[in-house]
Amino acid sequence: MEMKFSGQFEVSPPPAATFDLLSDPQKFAPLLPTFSSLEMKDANTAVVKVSVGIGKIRGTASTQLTLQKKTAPTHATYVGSGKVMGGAYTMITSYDLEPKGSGTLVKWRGEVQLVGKILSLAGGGMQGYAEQQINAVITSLQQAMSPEYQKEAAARKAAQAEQKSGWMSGLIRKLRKQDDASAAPADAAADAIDTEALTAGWSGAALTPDRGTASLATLKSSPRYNDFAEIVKRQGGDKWVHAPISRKEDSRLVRGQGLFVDDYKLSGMLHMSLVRSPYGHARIVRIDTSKAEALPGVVCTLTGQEIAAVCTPFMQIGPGDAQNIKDFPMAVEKAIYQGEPVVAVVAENPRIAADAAQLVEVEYESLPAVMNWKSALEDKAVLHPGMGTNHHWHGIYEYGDLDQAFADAAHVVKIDQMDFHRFSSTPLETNAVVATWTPGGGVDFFCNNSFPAIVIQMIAPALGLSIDQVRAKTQDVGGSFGNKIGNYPYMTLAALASRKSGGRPVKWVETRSEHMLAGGHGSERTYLDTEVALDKDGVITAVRSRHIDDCGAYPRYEPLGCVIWSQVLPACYKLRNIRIDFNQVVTNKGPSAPNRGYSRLQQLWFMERIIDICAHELNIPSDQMRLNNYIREFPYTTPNGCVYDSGNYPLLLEKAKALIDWDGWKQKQAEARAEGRWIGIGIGTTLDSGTNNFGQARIVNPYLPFSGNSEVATIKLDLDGTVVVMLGSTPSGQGHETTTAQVVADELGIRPDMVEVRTGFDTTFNSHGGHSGSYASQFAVTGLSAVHGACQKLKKEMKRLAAFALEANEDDLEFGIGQQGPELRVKGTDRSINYWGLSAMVNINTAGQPDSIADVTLNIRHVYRPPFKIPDVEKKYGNLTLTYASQLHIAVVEVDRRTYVPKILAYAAVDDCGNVINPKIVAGQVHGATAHGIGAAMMESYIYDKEGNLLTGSFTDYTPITVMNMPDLAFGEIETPSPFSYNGAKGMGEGGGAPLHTVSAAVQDALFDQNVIIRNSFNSPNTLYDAVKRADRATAVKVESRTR
Amino acid sequence: MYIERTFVLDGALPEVWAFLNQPHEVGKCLPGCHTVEVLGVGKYTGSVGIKVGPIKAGFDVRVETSEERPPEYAAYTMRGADKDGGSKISAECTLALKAVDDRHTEITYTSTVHIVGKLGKFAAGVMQKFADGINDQFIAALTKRAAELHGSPAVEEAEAEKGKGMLGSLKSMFKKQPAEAVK
Repeated sequence: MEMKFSGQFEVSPPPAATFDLLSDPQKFAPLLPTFSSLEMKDANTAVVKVSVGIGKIRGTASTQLTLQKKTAPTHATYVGSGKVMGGAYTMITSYDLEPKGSGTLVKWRGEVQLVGKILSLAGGGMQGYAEQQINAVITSLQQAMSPEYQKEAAARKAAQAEQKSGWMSGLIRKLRKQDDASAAPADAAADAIDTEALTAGWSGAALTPDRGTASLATLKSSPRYNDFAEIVKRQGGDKWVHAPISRKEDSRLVRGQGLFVDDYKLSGMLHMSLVRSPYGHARIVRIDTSKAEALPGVVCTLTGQEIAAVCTPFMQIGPGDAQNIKDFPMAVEKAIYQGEPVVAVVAENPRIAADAAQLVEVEYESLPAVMNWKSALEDKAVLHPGMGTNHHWHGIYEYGDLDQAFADAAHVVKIDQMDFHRFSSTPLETNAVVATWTPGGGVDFFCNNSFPAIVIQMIAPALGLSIDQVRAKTQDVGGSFGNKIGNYPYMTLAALASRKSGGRPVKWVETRSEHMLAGGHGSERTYLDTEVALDKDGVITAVRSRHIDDCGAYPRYEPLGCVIWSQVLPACYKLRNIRIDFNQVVTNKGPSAPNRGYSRLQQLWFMERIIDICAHELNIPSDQMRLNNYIREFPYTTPNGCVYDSGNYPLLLEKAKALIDWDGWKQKQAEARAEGRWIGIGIGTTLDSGTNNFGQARIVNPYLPFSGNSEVATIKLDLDGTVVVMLGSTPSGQGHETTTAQVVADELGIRPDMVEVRTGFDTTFNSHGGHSGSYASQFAVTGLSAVHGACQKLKKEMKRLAAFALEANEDDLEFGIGQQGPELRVKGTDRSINYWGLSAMVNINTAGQPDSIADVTLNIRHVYRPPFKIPDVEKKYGNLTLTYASQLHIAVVEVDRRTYVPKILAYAAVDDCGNVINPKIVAGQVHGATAHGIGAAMMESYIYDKEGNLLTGSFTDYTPITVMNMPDLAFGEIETPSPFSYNGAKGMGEGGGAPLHTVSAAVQDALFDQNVIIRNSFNSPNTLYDAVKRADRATAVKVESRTR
Repeated sequence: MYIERTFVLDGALPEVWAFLNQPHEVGKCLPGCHTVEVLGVGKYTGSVGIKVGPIKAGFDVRVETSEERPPEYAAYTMRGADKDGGSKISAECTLALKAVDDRHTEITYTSTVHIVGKLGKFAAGVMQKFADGINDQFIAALTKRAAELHGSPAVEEAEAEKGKGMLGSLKSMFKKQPAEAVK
């Protein structure tokens, strides 16, 4: 980070005296506001220590300051460097002196370069802090040079000298010594206690059994089911959907007994490490792997050329020339983003693989890097020669009568440019896979991909296999947020590495740095030439704009994002006339992947900015502006044919205002403003559209064979009558084991702990379809509808068996729990048959059973297909998604006037996801999505330089949100049941990116009076500092109002 | 990152040209340069270590002369990678020499440097200032060494330090601090 400052000030002494002070560190250093000590190294070099305090961060900065140039009495230049709190800095300061009256005019310039942790610790608020410090230095210099001050200072110094030698200071010194002496024994005592505790052993319950000394007597079954039975018992009652029960899966996850990819080990397993391109764009001239291969323990290496010889490029979704993009698992002729894999090294263990990767020599020829949409569109450097341009997709979404709406408008608001920044969700578990090339010629994956049904359709053709030869299995997944949909190139690479290693399993686990570079970024978007038509009451009647998406180096899941945003085309607002000219470009940045709120949050942020900017410009309160524009009738068909199933946005607003104490904060805001503080209150209304209609893919490419959606669940009565459910989803924290058990329990009249839900995805379960996976906020609808449907079929079969066994009519039977467990009984009698008995009739006690039940299997596979139609590709019209959960957030944000650090003072979120299956899980999802959104809004950004270097490639620079930055969240909910799902539920996992709009709106409210228009979704202290300094409201936004 | 410097060395134009064409001499003046190896005419490799605040890196650098017009102009390219290959550095440099008088030669040196990879993220900020510092030290060391070779008073001082036996010569090899160089 670089900061530049300059300015001038006056002091009363003449230039010679001023120069004398300013060119002598011994004289001026003690004037620094937080001066601590000074040590002269030589005549021109001093080491100055000052105390530093920014927010909660305190420390000492030590600067070696050298007087580099000295031209008495007019000029001096100091250069300095030093360290502070995990960071380092260099600085250059110079000044020129001119006589002014009897005094001196000091003209000064300063440059500071900062690096390291200090940037993240200070939340980036360095610029404001530095400016404040400079002002303090100037004031103190001016004071020090005034004759009155010098006299006072001399008197003060004499008084202090006297005091220090007095009895009081002697006593203080003595007490301090005693404190120091007594501190050591106390520490020693604490150590002794710790040692005692350790020697005596852990007094609490053992977290894991001591496997070294386990005997049959001490072996216990996993506490997993017992725990859940306890939870269910505590909850009580006989209806389980909507019960706030704790999650079944948590027991094993919090005990460290989950099975993540890195926990998975196979005999003879090898490890893969990747050599990645340091260049954003470079031709690969030469690769020498000989030194790496010579390292003992290395099994083989793989290069792009080798892979290209045996592998077909991955399928492309884009139309026309986009089909010519050659996307291999590794760079073949050139690398087109920093971090693109260039060579794979396979070794006996991960350390050897990492060491060997460093021995690979790659010679590159640097090519010009395309680092933003503007240079991408110039096509001077083209990333994909087959496509011939960097312009990947273009389409116009136009609905209604724009010309008429603008002609009739009372106000037209024009916004020049707005930008949505690049960030991601950085899941705790990075991308990982274990791949085994099996003797049969296929490949087994144990992976953490979150959309395995689609990626096996990508991988099989790339490897020349049939789908059946590709087995994909997932177990526990440590967060995905859509990012993990994009890890299939690594899966393919590991498969090829296994193949070259003679079929030995190959594990690859991405490092955090690799993930930041190449694990999948959310796309950034630019909005140009936006025009908004409004009527006299501030109701928006039309919007037109040009949008450009930057999807990074390889499109992969794109251009689906070029249509998915249109699921929320008008956001929560009733305008009917919209024209968006949508474009997508490729650039030399990490490939994008779906990211929580994928493509919709960009559109929702855009629409919320419009609402807010128009409200401020037209002087309409932000809550009233929204009430004037909200959609109120449901189901509501949007101008592009999407159907908003249900909702009540005014009620969300009312509830959120009550939660946060809106009126109270308005009062406090007015008081704070009177004190000159920058406090803003912002509203963000958002939609979380769930359950994709894959027919929308045809809007980006009419030749794609996808449409609709499907999800599968299988359910069976096992040999002992246990109810076993298998899903097609890949849960990564959404609690599918629990909600599935809740639904099945209600359907069968049993308890959730009596339902066995097999976790993870496995193609061998045969519990998946072509759309299976966890993405697009859909499990509550697709997954649970599949489970529900499977239950209905199972119940039908069970009734047929029970009717025969109990000699009763099917209509007289009821499900419930009897003395021998789950059973079917004849209503009003004690005649019953339990599940074991029913299973036995089909599985183990089959002799003599009648032909009438010969078709009963008690092993059901149900496919749920939402009621979708294929959209009209020409008109870009149709229902693109099934349900629309909504959220309304309100934030109170104060921007610190000294540091520009935005601080959330209060935050409320109200959620509406229709009928809630498990309130605890919903609250957890809202908290998680809010944390992600706040992080994205204020701290997290992938920033590149013009050479293609990712400048925020580690958590030190990217600063993901932590508990330290997360405000207390006031949470509420309303329920407007969806008419389109069997259970009235709506998918809600993504949160719609609400904090991005909300924080932008609050900061806008805080800074509008400073002539600031918030046009960037990233509200870091530095962007806010720039925005306040620019104060360019007048040029950024134009308002044309017509009187009629 | 672009660097440009003009400075004057003791010595007549041909003398300075000859000095600058001795890779070992120039290498000794480059802060952090551990070894220099001559591969052929106009081709050298060197190993350079740098430390900027918390950042440490060692680069193996290969220098090739791309154009030469003795005794007044040379252009060369520099390419290097750090030890684990995660960062790459490349530079296009020019040297222009001009006689000031019979005993002094003015040198204008330009360099356009690119850093990519792990260290690349520091390129725009810290590295520019760091490179400026390195250049200052380099020029100071060159000036001193040229003066020594030219037989000016600075030589005696340096010789005196060298004369302290084995330890002294080791010290003089490692001590290339700017403050000393300036003296």
